[in-house]
Amino acid sequence: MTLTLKGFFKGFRSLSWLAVFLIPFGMAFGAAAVERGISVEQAILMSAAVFSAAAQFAAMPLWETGTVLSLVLVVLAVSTRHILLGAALSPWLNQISRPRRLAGLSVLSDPNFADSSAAFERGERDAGRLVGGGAALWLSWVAGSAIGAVAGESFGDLSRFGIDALMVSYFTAMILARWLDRWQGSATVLPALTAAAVALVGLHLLPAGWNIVATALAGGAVGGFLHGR
Amino acid sequence: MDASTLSYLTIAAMAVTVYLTRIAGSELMSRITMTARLEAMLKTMAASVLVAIVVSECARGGLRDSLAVGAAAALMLATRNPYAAMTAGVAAAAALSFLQI
Repeated sequence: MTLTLKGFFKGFRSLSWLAVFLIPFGMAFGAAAVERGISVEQAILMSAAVFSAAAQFAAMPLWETGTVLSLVLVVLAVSTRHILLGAALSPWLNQISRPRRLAGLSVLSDPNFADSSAAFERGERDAGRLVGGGAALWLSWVAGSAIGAVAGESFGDLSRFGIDALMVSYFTAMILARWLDRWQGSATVLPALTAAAVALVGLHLLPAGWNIVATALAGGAVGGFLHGR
Repeated sequence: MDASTLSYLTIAAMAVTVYLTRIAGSELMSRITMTARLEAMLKTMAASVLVAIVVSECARGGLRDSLAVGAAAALMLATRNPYAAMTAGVAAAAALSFLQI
């Protein structure tokens, strides 16, 4: 396992189109932040330092009224799935040096997780793929936030343009890519069915974000159980 | 403490919190001996996270989002190109919005 510039650019290129379409999401955040009384510089700083749409949007309703602690708890609740993403990447990432790993993980998010874990499973051995993809997403998230914060208004409802379906379409493609590459019969089907069932039930029973965590653990448990059988 | 200082402090606290969740998984696993079964678990977990995101989105978004995901899936199976799939998903969602579905 290595971490090279070549891998970085591969990851950057792989997610660059997705990153372009992330700009409107960033604009929506920048506009929402300024509307809440956050200054333009602070909105941009937040996107650069936090780099998480889920956490930042979740924090907005609490910005004026909440305490620092309540904001941190909300952010923690919507970010727990990062812990699982990091664990899922660990068979590969933990082969590079600790300082590099801890630096590279600062840009871990759902899309570059999907892209790099698929690449690692195909046999690529360059952690730059994760970092480069993350850098592309980071740039567009910060740029979009800056535009939105300065302009003060976003496009309005993104669903008119179908852009809200972008991420879910990408994740659908990544699931299928994984299955097309490596179909393992019941070892593929059973965890997927378990995951879908737990996600649906959890969506109604658990607080926002936690159904993803429950699903990952349930799917993982089935995968571990089926291993070697 | 004035409001601006508190804002910067809050942003810093948010950033540290999210960063800790980003490194926690790999830090935790570096303290655990990796076995073949554990590796199988982690790989299935990776696929399950994606399934969870898509299923939740379809359930929340209803018919429109589910059809958009279907269009993305069809294009992915036909072309094996994730960008074709994304374009199909977005185009389908935009069309369905236009038709007010």
